[in-house]
Amino acid sequence: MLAFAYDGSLNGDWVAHYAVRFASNTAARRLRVIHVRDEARAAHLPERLARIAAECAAVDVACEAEVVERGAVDVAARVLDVAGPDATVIAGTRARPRARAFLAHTVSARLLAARRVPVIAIRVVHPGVLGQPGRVLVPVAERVDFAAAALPVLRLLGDDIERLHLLWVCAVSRLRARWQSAPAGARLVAAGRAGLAAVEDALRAGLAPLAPSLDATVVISPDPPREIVLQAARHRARLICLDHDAPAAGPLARASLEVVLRDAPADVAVFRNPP
Amino acid sequence: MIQRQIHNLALAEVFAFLRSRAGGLTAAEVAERQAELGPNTLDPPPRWGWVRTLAAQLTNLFSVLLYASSALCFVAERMQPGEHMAVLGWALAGVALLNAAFTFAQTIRAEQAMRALQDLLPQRVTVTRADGEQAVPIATLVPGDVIHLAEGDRVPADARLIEATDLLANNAPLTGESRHASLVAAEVPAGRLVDAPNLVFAGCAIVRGSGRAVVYATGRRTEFGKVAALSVAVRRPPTPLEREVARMVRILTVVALVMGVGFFAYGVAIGRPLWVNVVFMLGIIVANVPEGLLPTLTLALAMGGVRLARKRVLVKRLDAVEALGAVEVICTDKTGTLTHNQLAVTAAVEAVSAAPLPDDGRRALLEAAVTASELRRHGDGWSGDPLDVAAAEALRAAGGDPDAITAAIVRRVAFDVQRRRAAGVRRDGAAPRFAIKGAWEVVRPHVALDAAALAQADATVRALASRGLRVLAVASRAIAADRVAAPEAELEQGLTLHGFLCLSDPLRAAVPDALTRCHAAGIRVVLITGDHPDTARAIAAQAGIVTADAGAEAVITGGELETMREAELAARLRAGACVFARTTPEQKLKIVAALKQLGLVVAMTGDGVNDAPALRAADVGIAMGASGTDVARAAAQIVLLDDDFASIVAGVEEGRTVFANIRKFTSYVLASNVPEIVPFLAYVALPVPLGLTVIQILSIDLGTDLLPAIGLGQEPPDGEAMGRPPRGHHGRLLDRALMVRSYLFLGLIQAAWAMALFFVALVAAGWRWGASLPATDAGYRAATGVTLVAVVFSQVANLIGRRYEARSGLDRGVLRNRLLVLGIALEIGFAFAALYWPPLAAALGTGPAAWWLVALAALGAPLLFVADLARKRRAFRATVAGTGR
Repeated sequence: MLAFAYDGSLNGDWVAHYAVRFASNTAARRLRVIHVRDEARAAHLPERLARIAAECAAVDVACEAEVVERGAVDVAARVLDVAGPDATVIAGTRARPRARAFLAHTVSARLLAARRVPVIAIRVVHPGVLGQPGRVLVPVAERVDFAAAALPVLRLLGDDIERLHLLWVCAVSRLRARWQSAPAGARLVAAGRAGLAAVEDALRAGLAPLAPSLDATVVISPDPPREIVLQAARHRARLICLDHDAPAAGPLARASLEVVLRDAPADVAVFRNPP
Repeated sequence: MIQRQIHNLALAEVFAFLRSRAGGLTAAEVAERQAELGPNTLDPPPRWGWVRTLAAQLTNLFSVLLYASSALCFVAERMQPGEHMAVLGWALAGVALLNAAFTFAQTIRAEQAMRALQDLLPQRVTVTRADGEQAVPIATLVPGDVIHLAEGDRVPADARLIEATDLLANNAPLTGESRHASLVAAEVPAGRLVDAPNLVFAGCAIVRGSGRAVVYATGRRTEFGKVAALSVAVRRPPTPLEREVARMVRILTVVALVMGVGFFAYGVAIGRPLWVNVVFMLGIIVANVPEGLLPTLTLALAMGGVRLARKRVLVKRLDAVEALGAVEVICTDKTGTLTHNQLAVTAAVEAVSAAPLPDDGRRALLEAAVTASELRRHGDGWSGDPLDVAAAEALRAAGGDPDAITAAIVRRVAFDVQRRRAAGVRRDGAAPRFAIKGAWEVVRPHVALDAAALAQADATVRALASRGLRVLAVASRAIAADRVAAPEAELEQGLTLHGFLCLSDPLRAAVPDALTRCHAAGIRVVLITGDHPDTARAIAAQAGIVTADAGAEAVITGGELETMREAELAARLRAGACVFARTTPEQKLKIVAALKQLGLVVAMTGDGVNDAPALRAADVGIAMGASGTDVARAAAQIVLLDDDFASIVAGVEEGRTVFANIRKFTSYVLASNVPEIVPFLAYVALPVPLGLTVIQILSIDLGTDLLPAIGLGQEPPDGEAMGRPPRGHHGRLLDRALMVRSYLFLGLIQAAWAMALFFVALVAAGWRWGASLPATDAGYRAATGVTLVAVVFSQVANLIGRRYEARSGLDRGVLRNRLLVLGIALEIGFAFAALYWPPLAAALGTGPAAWWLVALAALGAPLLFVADLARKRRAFRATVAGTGR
């Protein structure tokens, strides 16, 4: 069951296109739109919810809109309570940065941090693609269960993916990136390719019968977030699917996510599954 | 399957999606959206970015070493006043700051791309809002705003058209497509968003007509904003020279520190006073660090840049001069770079027989072609699409009147990039005539020919395209007078095919020769063009990029590139693919990445806004000066003032010469380090006076060595520069051979001769082994003077010898290089002044020496020259023998 945490903003409308498309790619074809009441956005809410319902109807998705009171808990906790333990929650990041951050201290950040259900936080950079990105870049995190972690969100994109580009960034120090020998670089790339091939096979098998065109790139970079941004531009990706727990980001995880969210020339979907 | 993006929606859906309406947004909605989404502006570059750049220059390893040495000098001066250590401290700090200032001045250009992009956006725009039409600053636009577009406007944000009257846009800043796009308001069922004819994009220009559009993306969310962000985000990789200089500095610094600290420790161990050890450590460090090398290097690059400017190549970053010399692959555009960008009609042929049309047939074809054109009278000629202008010129040459045809046009259907054709209707006697011109594939379904004739026509087109000609099919038919405004689909039926108009953009005369030089120099050239594959291959064959019989594997189309995996592309490039046809500027980045994946040094040419990321990603970005956009010029390191490919090749030769010259003066400068270090080592290890003081060392490094080294940096190309394979990423500035030759051969000979004369002079002055002498002793001052002079004289021979790897250096034009001659004169003049001109002698701590000692010092020059020549001959014989084997 998909639950969409809708804040009633224009940015929320943009994220709603993804939520509707995701719902249309599930077997249940249902979308729960959860709005935690906010007086500042109450004026046009019925009209906006009706528009999302109409969009759902256009793609044969059943829409259930719920406007709930916040109560004593914060918005994220309320959304999670309403969504229930079996939901996948979709939410938006900020439309414009606060202190250069799009995710930090947002409802989405708290939803991701809670780790109670799978959460997908989306920043929309391309309002015109209406949740149908076509070209998707997936930076592959160096962990054994990456394919399993990424498959649910990729399945939600369904046949809205025409080309899936996998990116493996071999993170090295700036000094090493500059001075390592060509053979050492080649060894790193070869190891990356081997890891990537396994992920590619797993994704291909997991996405069947969907068969998007797949490509894979291995790069050595001292700055993985920037590399992700550049590769998204290179491949003209319209969406970057980013694993919230990518260990490559390490202790700088939050800052790295923010760099991608801030500089990406594509929409960004940050996903995180419960442990 | 993608089916619903903004361009696929009906107008009502667009307004619903944007929560807007034809009457525009209310003030409250605008305010709410501005608060939520921010202003419609691009992010400015960091205001204090230059501080970081300056800090990086001030804190490189070389500078830090010099600061540390400088600080130690001041400490030593405080501990033991009167040793002139403060002078040395100031000198070292000055050198470090000079180096930093030189490089900083050349590197602070990062935000230029963003500034140029900002200039492409308009400042105010007319919008319809609930409270009426008004002109507002573009920064206040929000999604949902209804904007007005008119001829001459620049589009302020990405928007979906809701009304379009004869609207034509120039999307070149974004797509690189030079043809104007005809725009419509209706939804389009398929196609990519960026190609949609019902969208207008920020930064693009409206060249004709008027319309209204509803904004759907602002600021960094626009396509333009993404290019802008990417232009800044792409970091230029360090150039081969930057890498090499950094490596050289690291090696020399390590050598200097190890020796300095080693002898400091040794001095402490044997019980010398601390300040003496500090002074000696500094002396050894100063002797090891070639203080004048980095300014000389910067000057050599700057002068190389001046020489390149004379060849119509403008260098924006100094290190690009040398980077051009390391290039292994040049990715070049076709139009304007390999060709003149002047289309001319070369033939008009009958479609089935492929024979040239008779005069009347040719004229009918050209009249139909002009009917489907958009021309404006411009002086004696016409302006408009180059194809249209070429057709008009050909019609005039055939005795026709293009102006009369143009005046008779009653309907125009502008060229459509997606439909790849243009059409028009003109009055022609009683019945109007509908004419169409375009690619054969799109005209073919509408002509009245049987299957056999169509097959023949297909063959004709293939044959013409394979000759590098641009082929346009031209067809027309008479229509009823009341059908002038009928839908195109109706008018396009049953057309009479006049034939094919063949146009060519002639190759620049210098290109084949330049390509030959590239091949001789081991440089691969890759052609990237939007043309048909057959045309691209033919042009590539004419230029010499591929052989005439090159197979299909040499050509990759944009379509293939789109779906090709990166590894596959790298494999195709490795296998020899070197022509990319029907490509878009965006695909250049993929080509650059694949070539770099092969470990190659890549130069890329470009002119459009969306070429900027590829220009920055390449090792050397080359923008077109005549036809390029400001954004491309800002992103590139090199600007071709005449857009000519041959100028790139001239630049490569200059770059290779600069690198060779840098190696020459590096070797020259390093050689004198050994006779500067040896006196310190001897002083520390043996009971002898110091042969050369720190001030005397600096007088060589920052005095006599500087001008000759700059002279070596001015040596002209030796004719062999373009006969060697490219250096790529692997050629070393400071390799083992150069170090061995400089330190262990030239340096040791100089040191041996200088030290021998030092002892001869001392003995002649009455010195006995083990005796110490005060710095004021006349005999000691004469002896150190002779040592200094011996080093300076032997550097003259070293200077001449460094001109060539194998030849003597006296054999070709030594007098033509004025800086070299001046340098030699300076060295000789300085040598005598150091001994016999009291003010300089007092400053250096030297004194007059006997004439025979000076003569012996001068004899060091021919000795070194002969020894060096013998070494060169031996090395040459060994090379020849090696080759023979």
